[in-house]
Amino acid sequence: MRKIIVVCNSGLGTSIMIRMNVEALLKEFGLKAWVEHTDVTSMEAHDADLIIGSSYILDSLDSISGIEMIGLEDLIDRQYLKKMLTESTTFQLWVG
Amino acid sequence: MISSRQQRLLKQLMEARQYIPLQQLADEYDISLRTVRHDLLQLEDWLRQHDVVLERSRSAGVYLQLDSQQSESLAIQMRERPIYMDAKQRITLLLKQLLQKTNLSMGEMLAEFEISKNTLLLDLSDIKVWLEQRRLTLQKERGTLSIDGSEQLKRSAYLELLRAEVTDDKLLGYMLSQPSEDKLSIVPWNVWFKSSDAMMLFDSIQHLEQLLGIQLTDAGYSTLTLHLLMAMERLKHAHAIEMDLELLHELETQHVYQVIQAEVVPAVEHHFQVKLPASEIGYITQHVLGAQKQNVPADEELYIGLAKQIVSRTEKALGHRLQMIEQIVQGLVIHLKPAVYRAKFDLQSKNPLLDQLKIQYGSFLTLLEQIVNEVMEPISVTFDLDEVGYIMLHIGSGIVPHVAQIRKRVAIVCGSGFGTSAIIKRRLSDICPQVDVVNNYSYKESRDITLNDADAVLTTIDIGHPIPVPWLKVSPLLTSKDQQEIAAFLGVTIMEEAGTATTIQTVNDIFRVVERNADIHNRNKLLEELLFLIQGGHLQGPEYTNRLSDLLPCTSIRLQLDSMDWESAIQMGCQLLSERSLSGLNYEERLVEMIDSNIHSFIIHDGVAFPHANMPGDIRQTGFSLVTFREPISFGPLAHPVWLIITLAAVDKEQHVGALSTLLDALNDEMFMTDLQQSSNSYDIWRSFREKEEL
Repeated sequence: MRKIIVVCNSGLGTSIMIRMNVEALLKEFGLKAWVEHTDVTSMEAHDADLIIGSSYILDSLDSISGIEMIGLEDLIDRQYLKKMLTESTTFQLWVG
Repeated sequence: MISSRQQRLLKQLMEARQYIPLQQLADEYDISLRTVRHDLLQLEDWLRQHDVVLERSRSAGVYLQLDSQQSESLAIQMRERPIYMDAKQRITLLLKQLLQKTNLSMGEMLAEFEISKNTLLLDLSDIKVWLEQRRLTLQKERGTLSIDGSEQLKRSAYLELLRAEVTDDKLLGYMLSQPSEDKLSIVPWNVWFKSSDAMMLFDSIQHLEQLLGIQLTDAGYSTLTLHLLMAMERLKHAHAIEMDLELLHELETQHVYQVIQAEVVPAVEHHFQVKLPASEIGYITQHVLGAQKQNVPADEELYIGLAKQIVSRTEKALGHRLQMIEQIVQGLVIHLKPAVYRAKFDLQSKNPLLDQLKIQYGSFLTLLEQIVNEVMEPISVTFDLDEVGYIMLHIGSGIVPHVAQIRKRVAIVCGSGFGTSAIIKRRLSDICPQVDVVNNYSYKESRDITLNDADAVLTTIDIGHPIPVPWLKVSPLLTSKDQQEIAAFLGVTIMEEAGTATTIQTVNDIFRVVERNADIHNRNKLLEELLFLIQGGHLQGPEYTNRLSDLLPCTSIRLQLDSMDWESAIQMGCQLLSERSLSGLNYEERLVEMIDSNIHSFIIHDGVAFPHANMPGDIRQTGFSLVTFREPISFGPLAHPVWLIITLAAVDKEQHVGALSTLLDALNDEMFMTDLQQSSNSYDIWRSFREKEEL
């Protein structure tokens, strides 16, 4: 199963909104993936394919080898997210 | 033989590193120079017996030069046997020995107290009078002394002696503060009993209290301890203990007697190496019965009086009446008793809630401190602010109006953690809406349930391991028997079938009133929600609060505000939450802190800030607030231009998810965003959210 992890500071606000947008977009593309949101401290990302979060958060994370990260400047704009996703190599692989 | 003053003098000399002038001693002890010289002469004699020389200098005074060995041996000498010199003390001890032993030889007494025969005879004549006042007779026969009289009278005489030395407060204070290290305060007591013995008896009585499920009064406690100490001394000296047989038989049938015999006597016998006769157990039983029967009610009344005074004075100070006075008084009575102990014995402890209380009640806490201590003054007790904090908690429950029923959080345990628990959850929400099912657990997981997770557990299987949460076994179908048990167990009322009819009637009446005075948009929904409310449901129930329009009421939307600094803006957003009692002061501080130190991603979109933090302790309920500014304000140290601030207080990670979804839709809706930026009508904005939900 493809797995996307959405991170934010608290795990209760922005990450949920990003997750909702991601899920809506996955549906739009007809893709199936497991999406999880979490806060930075409890992130266990080693089995994820893709990590999404605010660029502010992701900049502070050590990169995990082999996992692509998408840092967002805008956390709610669905069209912006769509653009970022379609530009990501992982996502392009999935779309095929 | 040296007197107690001479003994103090000696101690001072032993500690001094230089000559002490005689005049200084005379001043310090408030005695004449002549007396000082006399004391010193006697000391010198005594010291000589122990091979120590007191050095004198006409100009400098006196000086005791000791090597370490000498000072050690002197210290032992002084400690070994306290030297009682005033006649009163000596007579007390003579009396004690007389009452303790069956008979006493005068020769022994002369040797023990190192007094002349004349002195002894003088003492004895005093003793005789003292005993006669207590209907006891001193017998003197061929140099042997004994006391004649009934057992009961001898006992009370002995106790009277003890009491003069050891008051309730002293004894309990001593016991409660335990190894006080302060050896000095124990010294005079060693004459009467070994502290380890007293400790042992004190523990035994505590044990007895637990076994019998009773509470002894202070006075009862110390009397019983002293009584036992006395009894042990006398038993050790093979004193016969007599008791009226009829009375003894009656006492033997008492439950207290049997518990004492079975649980307390063996340990006491072992410790003191004595055998307790039935009559002694009888006396102990009498004491225990007396200690609770006679003293408790009087005590209780005292505390009720104090509690009532606190409440009425508080009402006067507040200028209005408190709610639920009876419960407050009751709670205070229970609280005050140990609180008075704590104050008496200096055992007051820190109140962990004090800081919070200071914030919540402010100057009222100081006022209460004044009131409480005025009330306590007659019993010579002063409470510190920590203790007053606890009383504030009681009083506070009368100030905060209790609107909502207390909701119970219940966890369900079943074999799998699913399935049957879902059925129970469904049924439970029907029959007692004031109960929230917070989680399901499998049998195995039930080990981890704590009181933080749930107030109680309902389970379909017996839980074989200890868990910290009370549990009740029920059938998955929640039969009427189960329902009754649940009601009793959780302290909630069950919605009865019969009750439903009257409820519907009430709801219909309310409905008609509303209909007469207002336009109803959604008749079915109104009926449904009214019914839910009247049945003890809470409008904050999950079904009705997940929507953004519930979590963000019209009144929490403020539009087109003038520019302000970002701190004030955050304060504004939080204030809209705290005025609905959703969050506390700390939440605002935390958010400002996060923004100030730049550890956040609150800027979720150009011009939009979404401050929120995970602070379950400071959040009481989930909710949102929304503010817009006519001109973008500069937000945080990085001065992001922001015109919209949406503040979220989340009590958990679930309740607001539905609302977030609506919010996200709205934020992605350009038309709406344009409206929001320009609108100054909160109601319009709130309606827009409503419409989005109904889509």
